[in-house]
Amino acid sequence: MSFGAPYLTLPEFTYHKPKSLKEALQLLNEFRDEAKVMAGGVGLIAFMKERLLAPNHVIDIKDIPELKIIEYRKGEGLKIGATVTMSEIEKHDIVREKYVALHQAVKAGSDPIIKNRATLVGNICEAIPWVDGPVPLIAYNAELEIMSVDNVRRMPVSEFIKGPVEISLEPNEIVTSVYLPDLPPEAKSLFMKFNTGSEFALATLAAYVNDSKKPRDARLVYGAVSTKPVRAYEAEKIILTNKNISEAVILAAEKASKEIDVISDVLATEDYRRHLVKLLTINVLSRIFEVG
Amino acid sequence: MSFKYVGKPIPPQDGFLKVTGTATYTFDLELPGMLYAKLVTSTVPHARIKKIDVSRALGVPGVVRVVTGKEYPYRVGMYAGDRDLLAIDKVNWVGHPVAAVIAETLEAAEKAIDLVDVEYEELPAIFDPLEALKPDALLIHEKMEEYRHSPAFKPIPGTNIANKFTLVRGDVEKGFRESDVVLEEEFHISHVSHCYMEVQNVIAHYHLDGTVEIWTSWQNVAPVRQIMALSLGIPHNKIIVRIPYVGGGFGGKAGLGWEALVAILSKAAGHRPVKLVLSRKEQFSTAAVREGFHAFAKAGFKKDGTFNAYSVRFILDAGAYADYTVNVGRAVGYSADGCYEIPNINVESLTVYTNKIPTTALRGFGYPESHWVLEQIIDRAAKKLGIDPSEIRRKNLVKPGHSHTCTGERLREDAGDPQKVLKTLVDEIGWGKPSENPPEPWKVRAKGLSLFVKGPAQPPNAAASAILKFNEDASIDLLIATGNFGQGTVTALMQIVAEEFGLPLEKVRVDYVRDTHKSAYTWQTVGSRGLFTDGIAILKAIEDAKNQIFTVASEVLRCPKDQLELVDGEVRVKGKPWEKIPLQDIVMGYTYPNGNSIGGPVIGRGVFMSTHTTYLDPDTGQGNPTIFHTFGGTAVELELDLLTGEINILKAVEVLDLGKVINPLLVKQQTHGGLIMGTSISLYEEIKFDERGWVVNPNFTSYYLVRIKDLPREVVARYIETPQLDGPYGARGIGELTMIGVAPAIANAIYNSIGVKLDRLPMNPEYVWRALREQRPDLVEEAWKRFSKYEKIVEVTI
Amino acid sequence: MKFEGKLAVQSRIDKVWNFISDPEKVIQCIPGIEDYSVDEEKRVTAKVKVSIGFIKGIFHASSRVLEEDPQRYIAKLNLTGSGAGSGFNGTVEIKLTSLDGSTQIAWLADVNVSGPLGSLAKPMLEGYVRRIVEQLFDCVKQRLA
Ligand SMILES: Cc1cc2nc3c(=O)[nH]c(=O)nc-3n(C[C@H](O)[C@H](O)[C@H](O)COP(=O)(O)OP(=O)(O)OC[C@H]3O[C@@H](n4cnc5c(N)ncnc54)[C@H](O)[C@@H]3O)c2cc1C
Repeated sequence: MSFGAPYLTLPEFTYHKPKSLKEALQLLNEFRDEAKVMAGGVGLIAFMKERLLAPNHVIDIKDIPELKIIEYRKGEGLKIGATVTMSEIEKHDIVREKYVALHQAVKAGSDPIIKNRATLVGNICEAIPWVDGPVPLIAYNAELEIMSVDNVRRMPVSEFIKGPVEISLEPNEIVTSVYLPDLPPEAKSLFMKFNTGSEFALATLAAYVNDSKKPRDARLVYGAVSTKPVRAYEAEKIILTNKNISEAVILAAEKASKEIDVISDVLATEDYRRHLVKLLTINVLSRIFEVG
Repeated sequence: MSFKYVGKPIPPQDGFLKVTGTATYTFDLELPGMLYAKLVTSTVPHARIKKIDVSRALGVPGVVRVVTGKEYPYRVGMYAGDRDLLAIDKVNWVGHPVAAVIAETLEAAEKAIDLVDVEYEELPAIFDPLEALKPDALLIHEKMEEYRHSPAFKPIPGTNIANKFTLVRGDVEKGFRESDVVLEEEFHISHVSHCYMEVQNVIAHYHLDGTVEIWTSWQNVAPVRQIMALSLGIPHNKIIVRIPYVGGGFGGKAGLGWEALVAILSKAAGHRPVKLVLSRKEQFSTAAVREGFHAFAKAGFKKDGTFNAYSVRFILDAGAYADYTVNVGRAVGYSADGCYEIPNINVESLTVYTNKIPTTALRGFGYPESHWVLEQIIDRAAKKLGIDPSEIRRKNLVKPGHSHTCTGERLREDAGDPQKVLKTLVDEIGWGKPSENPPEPWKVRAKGLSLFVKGPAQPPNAAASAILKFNEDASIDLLIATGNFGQGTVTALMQIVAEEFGLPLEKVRVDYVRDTHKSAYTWQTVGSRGLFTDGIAILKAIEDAKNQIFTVASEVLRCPKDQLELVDGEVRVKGKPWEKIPLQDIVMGYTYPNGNSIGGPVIGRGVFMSTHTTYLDPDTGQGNPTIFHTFGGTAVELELDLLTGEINILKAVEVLDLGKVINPLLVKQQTHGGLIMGTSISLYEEIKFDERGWVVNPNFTSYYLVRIKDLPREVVARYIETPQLDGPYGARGIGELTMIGVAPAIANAIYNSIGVKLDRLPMNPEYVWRALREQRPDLVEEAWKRFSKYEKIVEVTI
Repeated sequence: MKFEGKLAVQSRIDKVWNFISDPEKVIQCIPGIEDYSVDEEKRVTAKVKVSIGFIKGIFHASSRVLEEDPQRYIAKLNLTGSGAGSGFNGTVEIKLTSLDGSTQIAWLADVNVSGPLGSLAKPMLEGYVRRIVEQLFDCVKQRLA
């Protein structure tokens, strides 16, 4: 044993590159706990280098055609397959025009080299508290489609992520895609990230507001402040009920910074994060309403 | 005078291979039959080793040997001589190598380190140097008196003090009594890593005949050989050290490295070559980093701004081993006065052991530390006295030719023009002109200044030499040892050679491999000294070669030597350019038409020796420590977000009196590079430890470095050329200097504009946010109001 | 990280003490135990399979008796271990008290985790350690019953 995982090499594993989803699911069913799915590998390889993971089998899903799809259907929404990369999402017209918070989150992340490999689904499955991807998805009430050899199920992203490195996924399951519901034309969403000296944020916020609908809809989702993305339900209520929006923005910000769970870690203390939550809330909400 | 090459923006000679990815680094090298080593490192900060069981590790297929410290109990080092190859009996920090596995593949070695079982009996650990200084503190080095240390240092056995540096000049107590204003301030900085791209890595081959070949990613060959020779008792000429291209050093590859250890591993593994490559994790936990420190300063000023008395105590957190840091501690001490004349000064600089990662030099070598303190003291005094920060500096600046530094050295006449540096700095930043209002009213804009001066921190007898060898076509092989890790020195030195011989630059070549066996000697490549010391040696070698050439030509052309000149690759008789011999007809000897020949292959040699430097007096720190002083200054205009604590540098001005710009392109690159590194260390970088001494951010996701968006938006670099008469073309060194002023200039900008004191590095957003809330709650509240007052009231229907 | 807990076992105090002061017996109750050895001084080295969220690794752990007082039924152990690139270190204190007919086991653990696991999953580790300890004592309870 040495100080914290000083390795340059990876632990040994067998590499599989199935050509169909069926084949992938069968492999996973066979190896279960011994296997890990690999999409871009940006996260998986890092975890393996740290010896946080040492799967005997790595199942690379990049050659599976049905997982490469990104497609929008009016009335149904946007489907993003498991191997669609961050770059592909960033360039997608519908994402840029309609799912603004997602676009901004992807745009604000890492760099082109990483984004050409990294996938959004991988970003979710990694379940690291400080990643950006899940935050806008929860604001959109997005759901995941999850498959195993004998089952298909759907689950909201918000329930799927249970905590750091903990997700609702059986060893024989693959997340095949993420579904974002279609949005009414009046809906607005924004994402903002506070980071400094690193790609990883100290606090993020994705806000979704729909003014037109009755009852109105508002979701505030904070990332990187806690063990998983958290919603500020009380603050959302303030936005929905207060007539004077400029006042509501401030009150919601205060509320959010108090109500949500926030942690201290190597990157920042709880105090500072609560303060950032307040600033982000005012910034994002005032932009959302100003635009209107 | 106009020159063909000197003063011209010639791109770095190694640029092409580097940007095409084809330059060869140690990292790329593999030797036939090579084995791989991996270190087993301590997981506890301070403990006796009770047992090391390597049996399980030896069972891993491919493992050749596992070596432990007890088998090779050498003490290694350059200055303090305090280091073990592998821990013997006791571990002193989390990350301390306790054993090394040698295997046929890196995979096998990495697998086996997990299976080396080490049993520790833990001892209380000391993480703060102030704790380590307490009289009843546990000793980290129990056998300090046995260490073979350099005479320049004063370790104190029976304590945790690796070096005590003292400087006394004038009467500081009297000075304080006679001052009108006395300030007492405290400053701190955190440990930082060098973050060069190429991690430390070494190949050693201990041959059966006792010859040791080394390939290493290090700044210079000579110190590697010297340390190995002194520590392992191998004669110098049996150690051949080779350094190919190096992916960055920043001082972190100057002191003690892994070469002695890997040489021993090669011997232990049946004389096969062995390679050790550190991982980035190990760079943050096992390789040496820059020390942290506390400083306690007291300064006395007269009403008119005269800096009258200064007393400062530096406590360096040197970590478990301080082989090179003792010299940093010494440099912090004797640079305490910066570029000011202070008649009464007392300095104590203690380099103190703790149970943390060992430390070493980092770009600036103690000067960024001493200036972080001094340059802020100046601004704080200015505010108290109601004097402008530029004016108080102008008043106290040293005067070359008249003033003495705090070591009692009289500054030479041609040391530079600090007043002109200050004036240029002030003009370029628009000092006194208020900044424009920031577009967001919860931010403030501010300007700050900092001056600095630095020379190489070196022993008094640090020499350099050069050999210049002509080839048949009158091309030149320049055999120098000065390292090539990105500074650009080698390109500048080649320009000098081409200039002096009137040859095209392509005719001059410096090989990319430095080699103790083939390159001329230079003491080290550190302290911004390369261009100066090796440049002087090269000029002497040129003179020597020219003399040989003219001796032959004088005979052939029947003309006295002093009537000859070298122009465009020809020796010509002055005033009769048609009487000439092409160089290639002389440099291998001249052959007359009948076959008779004279002269012979031309080899020029030259040396640099610093002749006026001395050791410093052990009790008073008086003496001449250095060969030149380069004066400079940094000014910044920044924007501070009062709500988040973020600092953005809008404009940075850097002024340096470097004597002569040999290559304006490379100087500019050095300046920008220094500003980037300075910004990063000022605002973000910090190695953090948990309560058990584990580094908690040993990677670039949690160890923050500047990203492109954090860089100064605009950089202005101005160079003053006050020649140092004995420098090459009048030049002085600048490599490290460009980052010294950044941190104090930032802190000063904030202090000047809103009176908030920032005593700690890094000034990251959270720290600044806290300081703002504590020191100026009124401002924060006002900013908050401005931020949250939302102009556009939107009424909505619910 | 500090944890404490109490549980009652339907068994006499000396019987409980005999069980918990015998490493061979206790070890069988550690969830995920794969391999172990005990020496004359009751020093235990063990290989334990650990899974925290989707992180799965083998931990090499050892324990040493710091204090053992059969009169007062108090035992104190030192624990160290490593795996998944991380290390842990801590102490466990166990105290037995006799409640008529049954025995109360009170435990207090102070554990520190360093390395990537510590920084990534600290919030989860608490839950994990708590679960492990509960399972361990549940097992002790069953074996004694
Ligand atoms: C330098 C750098 C900068 C970064 N900056 C950012 C940033 O700014 N913002 C941000 O959010 N992230 C950032 N990241 C993280 C990066 O975005 C994620 O690691 C990446 O998105 C993971 O996607 P992947 O396709 O590479 O996943 P992989 O590495 O392939 O997988 C990650 C994990 O998810 C599992 N997995 C993947 N796909 C599936 C699936 N379909 N079904 C089930 N399990 C699956 C894998 O088994 C593995 O455990 C950065 C990473 C690096 C290295």
